[in-house]
Amino acid sequence: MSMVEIKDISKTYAGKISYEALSHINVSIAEGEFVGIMGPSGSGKTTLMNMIATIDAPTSGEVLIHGSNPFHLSSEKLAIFRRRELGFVFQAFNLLGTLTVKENIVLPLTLDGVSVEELNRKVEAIAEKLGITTILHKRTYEISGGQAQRAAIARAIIHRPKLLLADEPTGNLDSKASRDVMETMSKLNKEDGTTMMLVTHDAMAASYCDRVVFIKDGRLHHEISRSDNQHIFMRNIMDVLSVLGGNRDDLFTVGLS
Amino acid sequence: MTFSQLAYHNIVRNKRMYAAHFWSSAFSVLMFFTYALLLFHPDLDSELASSSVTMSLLGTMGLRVSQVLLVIFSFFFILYSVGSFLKTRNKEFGILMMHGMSHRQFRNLVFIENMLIGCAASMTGIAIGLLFSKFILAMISKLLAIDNGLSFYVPVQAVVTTLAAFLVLFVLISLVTSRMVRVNRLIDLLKGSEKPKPDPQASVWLSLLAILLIGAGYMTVFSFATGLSYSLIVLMTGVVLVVVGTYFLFTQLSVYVMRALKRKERMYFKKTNLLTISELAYRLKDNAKLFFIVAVISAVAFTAIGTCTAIGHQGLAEMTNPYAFTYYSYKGNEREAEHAAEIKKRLDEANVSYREASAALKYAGNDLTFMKLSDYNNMAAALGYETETLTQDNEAFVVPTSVYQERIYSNQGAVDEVQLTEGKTKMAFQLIKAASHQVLPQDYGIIQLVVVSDSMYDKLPDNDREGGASYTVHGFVVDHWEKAGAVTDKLMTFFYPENKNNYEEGAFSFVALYPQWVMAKQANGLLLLVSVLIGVVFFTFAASFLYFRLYTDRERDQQQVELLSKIGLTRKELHQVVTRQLLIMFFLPIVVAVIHSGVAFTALQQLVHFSVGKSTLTVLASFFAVQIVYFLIIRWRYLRQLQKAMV
Repeated sequence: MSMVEIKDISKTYAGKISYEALSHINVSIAEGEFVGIMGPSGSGKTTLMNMIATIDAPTSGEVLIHGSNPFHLSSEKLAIFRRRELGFVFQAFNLLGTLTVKENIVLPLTLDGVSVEELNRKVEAIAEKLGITTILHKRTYEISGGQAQRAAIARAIIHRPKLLLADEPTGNLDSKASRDVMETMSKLNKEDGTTMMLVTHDAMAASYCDRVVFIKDGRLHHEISRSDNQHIFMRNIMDVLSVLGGNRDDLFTVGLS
Repeated sequence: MTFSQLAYHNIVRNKRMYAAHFWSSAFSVLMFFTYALLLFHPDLDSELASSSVTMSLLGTMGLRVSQVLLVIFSFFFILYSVGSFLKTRNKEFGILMMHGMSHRQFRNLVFIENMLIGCAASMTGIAIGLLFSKFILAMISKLLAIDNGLSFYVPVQAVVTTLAAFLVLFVLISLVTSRMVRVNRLIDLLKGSEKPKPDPQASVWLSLLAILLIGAGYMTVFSFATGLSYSLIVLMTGVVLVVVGTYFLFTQLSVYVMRALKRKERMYFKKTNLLTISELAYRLKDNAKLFFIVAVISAVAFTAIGTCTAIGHQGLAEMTNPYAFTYYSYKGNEREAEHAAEIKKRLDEANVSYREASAALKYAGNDLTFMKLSDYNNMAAALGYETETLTQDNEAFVVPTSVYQERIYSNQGAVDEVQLTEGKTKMAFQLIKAASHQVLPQDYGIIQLVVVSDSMYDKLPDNDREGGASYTVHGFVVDHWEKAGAVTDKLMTFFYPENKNNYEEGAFSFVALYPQWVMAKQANGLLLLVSVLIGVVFFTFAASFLYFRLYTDRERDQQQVELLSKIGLTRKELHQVVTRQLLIMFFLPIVVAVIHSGVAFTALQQLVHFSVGKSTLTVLASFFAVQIVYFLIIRWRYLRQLQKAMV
């Protein structure tokens, strides 16, 4: 059974002029797969991600995660579903300013009422893995963007979610920090088998995926899978992007290493 | 980190944000505690009861009512402030929800946070109240003219009541607010307040209507005060007109003025004016309702406090009785001369300087009471008014005997002639004028007081029994009678040895202004206490609302400042822009309130004789001073925050 099953979803924003952000999208993500979603600005990438993240509801169609539709859950159960099954990484990190790095990371466990001992053990293990042990007791305004994003990733995976969703995680980072973050994610995918979905317009970041789905103007456009070589995959991604159109800046945010 | 630690961190690490909320809450606790401190004071009842039983009842009632009012206002105020803070935290809540916070947990979080602040605020308010309780009691005993003062005591009951009242209040607030945030659509929470606001619009007609309504309201109030129309409905209409006008003033006129300024390009595009005006247009529109409420509440508070200070003024007592001591001698009183001499002797002994005058009144029938010209002139001289002359025997003039009559006479003048047809006597007097001041203590028993020449007075018949009275009045004018409490006491005991407060019917009566004034002062002291404390609480709340609003917009403002400083806005220019904006936000509602209450005071002035100007100015000036301090503090804090965003 696939991890995520997107079945014919559409999203229309009602207004003076209704606007169809997504139109009849079908995507399926297998367990343990790392899927990237790309497209020019305004193509509907983030909208699609929000539907899977249960942040926003589709106008028609349905999203099945592990075979069930989270929108059918009661609000209480939906909260518990998010808490245990999903992890999120945002472009803007979205760490809470009132908490320390460590407190931010343990947030999903705290909400779930996990004991302090277990919580401390987990946070140490994950900090070690992501190389952020030294900043655990700092406040969010004292750390760099790359550190903040790694802290956000730690928060997204500390509860071992079945599905990790990342919306432009490298969008606010320089090339070095971007590569660190992507290496981290890739490692998590390989070692822990976490299913991942990544929205990005950065070809370098997308080249870490197993498969990249392209959308344009709310419709599915193209799909390519990774061969063995990451560099070739990145070249292929960039070829598709240039066919798709959009900004040159979208293509060359990061050079080849 | 446990769940309650999360709530604790949210507050403690966000101290600055919660500071205004916390201190305003603590302040309302302090006010409540002050009332409770008084209400449960062991001496207060008996002290007030020594002046009169009614007074002590009034005191208890007044304090109870204000406590209830205070709790109600505090409830809405705290609800508003918590609500506005929750709004700024939409994004934070969104993030928490995304990480799986359930609705129930969310409500718990808000509940715990509120209870933490509520408990801390209650403790702080009570602690400050305890620290200053000695000082508070001393001030209040002066205000209430309590001679022996109020002793210090350990107010266990007050502490318990305050704690209980506010714990209940905070629990209620926490329950309500935790249900206020709509958490159905996560995406809305996450996007927060990023949506751009539409350009503020205003209607010309409604702006004009604002001016018209306020003008009409002012005129109505004046027509009431000058006596053109003497009905409460007129007064109420005036007030309603002004209130509605003020609403449109803030929602329409202010925005309209800003738009008009934008069109004056030469002015608009001059230096920082562009920033100041474009920002102000949004701020005025966003806060229009808040400004309206602040203006109306402040106007009510100013007027109430000003009126109460005016009523406590000794001038009001003098208005009804110009004499510090009055001795009335009725028919058959054999000790008149002896008593008059006694009063003088006592006053001399007490070193109180006085001017004495006496007048004999004769009731002649036809609702007419007469007085000799020489008696009138003696009294007028003692009171410092001009003396009068009558050239012919058939000439006379009338003298008002009540404040009401005084108004009637000054508005309409007296009738031309009075006729006396009593038995065989038939006399007519030509009225040449109406005296402008009363020379006798207010006496509703006298329908019309006529002054005639001494020779004519002797010819008048005396009809004492027919509904009017003839008697002699000895008036003693003392310039600073409010300080003559000791001698008053002695005189009262001399005339009424059994019960100094009992004015029995007899051959004579003795009235002193001092005890009447003390009683009026206590009654009004209580009124004043109630109105000042509630007024001050209102005022603090109003000022805090502004701070909350600034805080709500803080993030957006910081981004804007960062952007502007990149373009090249200097620190000095930022100061200028912020100062101008804050000046308008802080003082526009207050200035409107001052104008409104100024009109109310001018109207009040028409109704009374002594000047209310001084007490009015004191009230307004002290509120203004407080507002200036508040303005400076908030400007300083706000600027410091914005400067952090400068590059």
